Amino acid sequence: MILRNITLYTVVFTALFFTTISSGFEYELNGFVDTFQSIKQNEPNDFLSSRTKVHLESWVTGEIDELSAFASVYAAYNGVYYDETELDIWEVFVDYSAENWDLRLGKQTIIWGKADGIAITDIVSPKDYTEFLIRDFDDIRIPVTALKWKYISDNFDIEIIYLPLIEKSILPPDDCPWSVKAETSKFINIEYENEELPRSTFENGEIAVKYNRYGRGIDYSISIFRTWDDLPVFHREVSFSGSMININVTPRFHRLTVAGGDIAWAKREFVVRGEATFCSGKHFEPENPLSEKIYENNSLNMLAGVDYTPGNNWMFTAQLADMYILNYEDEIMNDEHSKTGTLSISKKLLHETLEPSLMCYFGLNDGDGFMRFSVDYAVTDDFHMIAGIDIFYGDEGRMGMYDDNDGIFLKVKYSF
Amino acid sequence: MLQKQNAEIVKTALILFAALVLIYGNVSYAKSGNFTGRDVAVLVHERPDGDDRKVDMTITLINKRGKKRVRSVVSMKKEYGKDSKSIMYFRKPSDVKGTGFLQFDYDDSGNEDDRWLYLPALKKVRRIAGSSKNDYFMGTDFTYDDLGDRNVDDDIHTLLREEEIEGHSCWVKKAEARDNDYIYSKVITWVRKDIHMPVRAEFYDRHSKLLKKLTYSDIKMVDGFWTPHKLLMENVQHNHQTLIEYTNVHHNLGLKDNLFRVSTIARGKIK
Repeated sequence: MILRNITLYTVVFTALFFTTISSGFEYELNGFVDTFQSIKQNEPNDFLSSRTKVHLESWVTGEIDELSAFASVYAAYNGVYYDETELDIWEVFVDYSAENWDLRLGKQTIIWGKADGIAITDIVSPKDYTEFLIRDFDDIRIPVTALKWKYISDNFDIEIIYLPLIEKSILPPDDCPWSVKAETSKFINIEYENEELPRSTFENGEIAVKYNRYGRGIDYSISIFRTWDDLPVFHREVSFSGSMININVTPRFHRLTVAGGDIAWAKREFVVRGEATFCSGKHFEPENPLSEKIYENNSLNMLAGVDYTPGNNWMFTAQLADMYILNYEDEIMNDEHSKTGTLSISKKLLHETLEPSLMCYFGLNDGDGFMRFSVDYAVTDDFHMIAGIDIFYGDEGRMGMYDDNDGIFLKVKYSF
Repeated sequence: MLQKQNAEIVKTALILFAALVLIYGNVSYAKSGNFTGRDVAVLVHERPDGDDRKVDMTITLINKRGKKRVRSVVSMKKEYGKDSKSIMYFRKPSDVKGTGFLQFDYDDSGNEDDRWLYLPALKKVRRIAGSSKNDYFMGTDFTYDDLGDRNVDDDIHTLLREEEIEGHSCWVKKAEARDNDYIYSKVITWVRKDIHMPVRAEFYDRHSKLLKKLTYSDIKMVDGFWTPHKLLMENVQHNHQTLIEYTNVHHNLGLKDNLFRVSTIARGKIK
């Protein structure tokens, strides 16, 4: 078992222990077992994903009504990425729920925002991009160690979150179907330095404040988050030796300040959603691989979306997002505007035992995209089978680069 | 003299008799002539059921092959004048355990209800459209509207007749929605006259064919309020049934306002 942050877990487990040893403690073990298998449609029909996971979780309550604890652990076997075979704690935290405030301490998943499948304000928990889009977006968030305090009133609440330990997002490893393959040349020698997270000190901790308001037909929130970029920027040092070009790459993490907000407005069959952030401190790499310059520009991330539920268990969702780099310079690798669209259609049938759905991502800059068509069948309430097809298209772009990774998948999940 | 006295007695008796007929006739006229289907609907709508209530619900879905699916839900509701707030939390089955549903129901048809849904798999509260009342609730044979309180004047009510059901005298009334898009062309309801509670209902589709039958049973007094403990909805066209059984029913618990907040369902558990 991999244990990080011994001090924190000691505190949390101690609280758990005292909660449980008090007479009359209650717990209920729940969890699921699932397996996801995806095979490439094209020869040689390799596995794009092969993972099986057992997830156990339990709330524990004792004599003190306001105090409870939660723990979840998982064991996962990954047949494609052997590095991902592990047994570990997923979440473990203690909750104190008073009448008008909540306090949660420990390793927890924190989810912000109103968008589906696109992170605009939803940047508190980093993400596991190991399997890119074929893993459900809601499965890729990585729990963070945090102290979260929430003041609750009838129609608003205020969250203050302190994260003492820096977590980063996970990119696909080199030896997998989802790795980002850099162009190489026999005249270029690239060496990568090890990635180092900033030291976990009080000053380096992350802090977030969010105000949520719930009104008649409308919810909105505003937030500010002093954080670290959860993906490193690759700083370069270029040198020449004869005909060889040597590039020494050092991944570095940078501080960000992100101010944002979101809104959801319900009217008849529609819910209109919006989300935006202003990000200060973002660093961008140059498009020229031999350039050592790193650009620091502010950026705006925006999203507008609509949910349409006309009845008969139909659900339509469409979103349009844009990341806009302010004071843009042409040498920056990213486009000035990076636009993405999503479309999702689903319908529940047979008393909600069968649900076909279509989910699409469109890369509007490069004309690439991803589509998933799936059917979810509830054999019983606790036993679901989901089968489907993943299609990537396009000659370039974040999704077009995986054009060869079209796959057929099957997921089986038993909950208990 | 005696003859004159007898005539006076008879005359007085006739006057009294006529007065009685007049009075009784007026009452009867008030009951069957002036008393309308809308009056029945108002009596049902305003039937006292406490300022709040908490109930455990077991919802059993039965398909045509007899296969059962069971959901266990805890439901709480509090009245705020003509409006209400309700919260529902799923305990079973495992795949929906922790799902929370919060609704603010406004009596005024011009105000849309506010609804939020917490899905434990997403760990997120989602604002959902308030107008999809014709959708079926969680795969059951009840629509959201069937389970909620319709505004009396959303329908045109007609008193059809009186009938006896299981020894209880009932009004039988018809309701036809003013909204042409409503999923039912009409709903016939049998309402017990003694306690103003529906005991049976028939729902007709847009083609005026019988779609569903609803039966209320095991009606008992709880905390001073008449409460049905079983609701059976049978979809006769699809041969599917939903049985809702209420246990641990409590009225006027003094449920706190802070229970009916978005943060309550976002916790993923209800104490």
